[in-house]
Parts: sequence; structure tokens; C-alpha cells
Amino acid sequence: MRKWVIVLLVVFLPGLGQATILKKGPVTVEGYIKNETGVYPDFTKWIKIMNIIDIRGQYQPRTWLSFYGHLYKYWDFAYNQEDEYAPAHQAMYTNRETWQGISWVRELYIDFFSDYLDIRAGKQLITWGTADGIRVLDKYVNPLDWREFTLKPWNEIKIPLWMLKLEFQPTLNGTLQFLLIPDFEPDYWPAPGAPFCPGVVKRGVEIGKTKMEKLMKLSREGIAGVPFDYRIISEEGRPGEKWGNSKFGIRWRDVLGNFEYTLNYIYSWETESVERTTDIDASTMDMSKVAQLANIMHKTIPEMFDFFSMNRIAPPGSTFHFGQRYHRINVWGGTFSKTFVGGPLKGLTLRGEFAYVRNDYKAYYDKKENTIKWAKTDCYNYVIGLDKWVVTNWLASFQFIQLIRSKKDINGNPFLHLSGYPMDKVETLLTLKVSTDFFHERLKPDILIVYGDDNDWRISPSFYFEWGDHWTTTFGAHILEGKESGLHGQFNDSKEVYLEVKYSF
Amino acid sequence: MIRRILFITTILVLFFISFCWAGPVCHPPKISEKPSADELMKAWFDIKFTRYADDVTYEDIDVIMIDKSGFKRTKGAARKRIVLHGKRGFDYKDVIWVTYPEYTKGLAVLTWAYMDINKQNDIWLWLPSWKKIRKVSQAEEDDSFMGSEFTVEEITTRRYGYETYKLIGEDVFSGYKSGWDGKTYCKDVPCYKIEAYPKKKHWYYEKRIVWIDKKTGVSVYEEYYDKKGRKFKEIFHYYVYPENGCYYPLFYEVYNFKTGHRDIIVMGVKKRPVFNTGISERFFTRKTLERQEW
Repeated sequence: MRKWVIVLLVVFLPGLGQATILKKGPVTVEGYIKNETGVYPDFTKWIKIMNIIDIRGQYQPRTWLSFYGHLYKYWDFAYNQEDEYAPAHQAMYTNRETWQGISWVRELYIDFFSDYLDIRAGKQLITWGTADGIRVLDKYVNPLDWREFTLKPWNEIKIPLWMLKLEFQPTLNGTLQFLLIPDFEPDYWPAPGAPFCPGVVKRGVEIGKTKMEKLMKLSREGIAGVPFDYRIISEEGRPGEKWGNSKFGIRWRDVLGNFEYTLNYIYSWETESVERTTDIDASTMDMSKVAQLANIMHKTIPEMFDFFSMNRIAPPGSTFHFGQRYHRINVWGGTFSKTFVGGPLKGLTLRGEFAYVRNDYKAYYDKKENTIKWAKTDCYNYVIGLDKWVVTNWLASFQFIQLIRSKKDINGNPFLHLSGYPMDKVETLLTLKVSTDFFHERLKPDILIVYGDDNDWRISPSFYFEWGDHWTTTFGAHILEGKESGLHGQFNDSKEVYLEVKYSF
Repeated sequence: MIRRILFITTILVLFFISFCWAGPVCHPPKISEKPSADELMKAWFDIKFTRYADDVTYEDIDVIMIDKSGFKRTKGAARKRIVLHGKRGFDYKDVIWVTYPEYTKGLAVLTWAYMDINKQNDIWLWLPSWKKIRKVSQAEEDDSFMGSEFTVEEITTRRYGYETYKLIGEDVFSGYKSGWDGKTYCKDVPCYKIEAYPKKKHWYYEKRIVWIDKKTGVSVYEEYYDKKGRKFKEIFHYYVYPENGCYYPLFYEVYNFKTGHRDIIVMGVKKRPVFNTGISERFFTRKTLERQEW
């Protein structure tokens, strides 16, 4: 840690006095350095100690042509400080394999602008939704980095993808957007031991670990002194890099009077709830060991195979392929917003977002086999929101959210919540955000309250302050309360008080 | 031969058309000899919202905020506006982008204003930290504009018809010493003085006195009074008047006597605004907001 602090100081301190946005002709360069420190409210453990460097640059030789790049790099030292994070530290930070998807390059694209067509090609983020604090449509476009759950702005935790975006404007206000996304990234989950590792991941790993231990024991010790010597291959199971595996999206957007709407469709991949698979390849079995075992157990070879089958044991020398299977999904949806510019509701904004996912794959717990399995269910998710300036500069924003599944369970085995516990067929959430400003918009306090129908709470107050043209600080908290089975309650042990100090240049 | 005649005729017709078409009108209406208060305020409203032009682009706007201790903060912005002269009920559409400092850079606001003064504006925000467009209600009109002493109403929403007006006389403006650069502006400018009373009840000011330049129709100076008759705020507008071009503002300055805050919106100093470039109305849509890289 000290090494990096010294590097940061040496590199940046001399320039702090003069540093500002660099704009020279068509070139603009800017960025920030930032420290985010979060601690458990009783100051017994660090939740995060992050140092971040963010640099963005643009080259715009013509008004209709632009090149843009954005680099973002962070170091989280809390993982070095807390022993309980050690397993996660190894999985998330030391092991390079698990780093896939979290790149220094946040965005890198070329833009072409015209009155009738805009083209953006490169690594980028897309936003379709209008909801705050929850992804309804957006979750099917860019995957998410869940290291800090959903406590940070989406812009910082969405995983960018290489894609082509075309935006046609056939009418004055109507636009038709096409997305072609050949790139693939799954959601990035923190490993067990990390502050925000969700229950479903912990549970899956626990079950997997027990099964793996049994398997390894059988492989090593075998039966009757004959080791089974299984071959174990772990595969990521990503879709192959071919055009047919691309995501395709389309959006129509228009304004009718004060009513605006979008109609969306995307042929996507389920990247949040990925099916774990175990395939056994018996073609590699060792017949000499089967014969040896048959001899010892006084059985014929066919009787030996019956024995393997009855006891659900793979023959010696079999190959186990542990992998993941990503499923294609079709998502239809839309958004709307309506601002009342006159009449008794003047000043009120009503907005909504809806997504229907056909044959989504979700995890459920099979009690009989003590394992997590995946099955198809249709999902209907929607948000209705109301925004209103209540007194001069006090903005209140309320949302009603429902996440609905067409099936409650599979043969009595309920689908799993993110917490790893059974999920209701209909999950309801209410959110309220109130924000204002003081001292000529230098101090901006706000509070976000999220209530889940199982008495599950998130309360996030924050106080943002602008010290000048370069320095800003944010002091806040994330209070996560509820049962262990709840969306937020599962992170009871990761509630935090945090301070962010940012220097912009 | 016929081809030659057709060619010469075409050239002559094109020449005649270009001669006759003088382009969009780019100056405020002339003030009559004995104007009424309403006529003067209408003229000022047209000038302020560049309603005598078809479009305007401000590439480099600075909002400088100075508190009573002298501590200074700056915000940068750029702005494009198209004036629709009542087409489909629209007054104007405009886009503002915040360009400085880094921590607010990228914030953009698309506004559609209607001719009907009882209708609020339609507003969309581009939120950089969420990379998304948010439809929002118009902020309360007595809220601060970009954190300055100017209110939203004073900069963006106040229309002709928001107040009742009374011409109270003529006077020579003694000049305004700017707290920004220390220079005195508009010394000895003959003005009409108008009292303006807000139609809204319990508003943040009881009345204001507006000093309108007799020659140009620009409100050079405004005094704001509270219920007790105390002057609590003053606003100064400094314009330049090119003979063959559009009038444009160099800066607006506000000083609040209660808080000691002074704020200046500098518009035409670094880069002169550009008028009537033929910006398409298609530009003033959400597609433009989504072009934002930041």
C-alpha cells in the first residue's frame, strides 16, 4: 500500500496546483484521483480502502467525428488488511484468471454524428432504463460488477462491452437504435469472503466444495484400495467468438406531446444467473481398473457397471468437466415518462419501465439432491416512479417495483433469491430518494431508502461537498438491515460509513 | 443557344433570389417614441431570449461565483438554442452542456419552451454518473440557477406576462461598477424605469425596478425589493450592439446584498456567440444528449 501511496504522491502532487482540464484544439484530457474508504460503523473492520485513477481523453477533429478513450484503475487495500477477506483476495485479486471482465479500459470508441444517423463503435456502456437503483432493461445489455453490490453509480459498476450502436432519426423526435454486441462478458461476482459476496454464491460454493471433497477422496482413495484417478477439467463455458453469438438489440423512441416512450427488444444472454454444469465423460475410463475392482469385489464387468450406476459413481479414469452454461434469452420491454407541464398535477413526472423475459434461466435448490439446479421461468419486472420538486430545491422521487416470476418453484423446490434463500413469486420493493442542496449547490445531501416486502431495508444517506474547482468529498453511509434471506439483509455485516475524497484535473 | 439562354436565366434568377432574401431578422424591434411599459418589457424579453434570431450558439460560457470572503468558483458551459417563433406551439428549444469543472462536466440539459406561459418547460437531463437521460419536471422557479444568486426564473423561465408592468419615468443610469473586473459599465445611459410586480403570490421578491436602455431596449440594470421595501439584489446586463449583427450579451452580474455573494455569467467574452447558422431542430432531441462522452 505504502508503495502505491508514494507513487501517487510523486506523480500527482507537483501538478496539483495547476492541474485542470486540458483542452487544446480538438484534444481534451481530464480525469481524477480518488480515495474511497469505507469502514464498518463500529470501526472494527475495513469495508474498502480504494485508490482510483480515472483518465479520459477525446480527440474531435470535426464536429461530426470524435475519438474517445477512458481508463479506470483501482486498488482496494482492504483485502490486504482484513484476514476474513483472504480467500476472496486470492480469488479476486491475486488469481489473474478471475480478473477477466474488469479491464483498465472502460471505454474506447469512435463517434460519427449527423442529423439522421449517429454511429458509435467500440467499447461502451448503454442505458435503456429510467429506473433508479435497479436495473430492469439495462441488466440485459451490459453485465454488472457486483464487488460493491449496487451501492455505486451504474456508470462505475457496469461492465462495458465492445459493440456497434446505430441511432437513426427518421422523424423529428423518433429514433431507432440498433445494437450489435459481439463481445461477451458475464457478471462479475465477488468471491466468498468478500464483503458483498451474495448468499447464492456462498451457498453454491459450499455445496460445490462438499461435493468436490467427496469426489477428490474417491479419486484418491477409490474403493477397495483401487484409486479412481479421475480427470477433472474446469471450463468457463463462454459462448464461442462468432457473429451468431452476438447480442442484438433494437429500440424505438418517440415523444407524443408530453408523453415519451421507448419500445425495446434484445436477444441477449443470461449473465446474472449462470447455470453450473457437471458433465462426465466415461470414454476415458480405465478398463484395467474396472477389471481389477471387479476381481476384488467378485463381480463380472457388467455387474460392476450396474454397481457404478446404482451408487451414482463414475467409473475409474472418467473425466469430469465442470463448467458453466450461458443461455440465450429474449427480452421485450419499454419505458415511458410523462411530465405534467400544466393543470393540477403540474410539476409531477410519472415514469415507468417494464421488461418481459421469456424462458429465463434461474437457480433453484433441489432439496432431494442437495444441489442447486437451473430451470426456465418467465420473468415480468416493472417499475413505476414519481418525481416532484416539493419545496424550491427539494426533489422527492418515489418508486414502486415488482419482480414477478411465472413459476414459484420447480416440483416444490423454490427459486433462489440473490441471498441464496427462497424467493417469493412476487417480490415488491419501494424506494424513496430525497435530495437538495445548500450553500449555492456546494453541499448536496441526499438520502435513498429502499424497502423490500420482507422487512428488508437499505438506507443510504450522503453529503457531497464541493470545496473548490478541484476538490470534492462525499461522506455517507450504507445501512443494510433485514433477515439474512433478504436482498439487503444478507449484507448486515457489510454496512458501512464511508468517506470519498476526489481531486479532479 | 437554348442551353445558353437557360443557363443565363438560371444565374439571374439565383442572383435575384439571393439579393431579395436577406436572411432571418437579427436585431430587436425598434423602440417607438413613446413606448408603453408592456412594449418595453416585450422588447427586452425578445432580446434576452434572442427571439429576433433563428438560432444562437454560445461556445464558451463561464459562471463565476464569488462569496463574501472573495472565494471564487467557476463553472463552464456551452449552449445552443433554436427559436421556433411559435411553430407547433414552441417558443424555443435549447441544450446546455456543463464543460467545467471535471466533477460536473458532461451534465447536459435539453429544454423545450412553449409559447403558452402557463405551460412549464419540458426538460431532459443527461446524467454523466448514470450515463442516462432523465425526464425531469422544471425546477421551482425560485431555485438557484447552477448554484448562483440568479434564480431559474431570472435566467431561463421568466416570460413576458409573468408580471404586471408600470412605467415610472425616465432617468440617466449612473453606471455599474462590476465586482468582477472593477470596470464601470453603461455610464450615463438614458433609460426608462419600469416597476414590475410578480403575478405569483408570496414570491421571492415583491417588486423589481427595471432600467431599460432607451436606444436598444436592453434591461441594463434591475433592482429587487422584498416585502419590507428593502433592495436585496441587483442584476446588471451588459450587451454589445454590432451595427450589422445581432445584439449579444457579454456578461450578466448579480449581487445579493443579504448574502454578499456575487455571481457573473460571462457569455461573449472568450468567444463571440454565433447567430443564424441554420441549426436543425433535429439537433434538439435526446439523441444529442446521448452523444455526450463524459
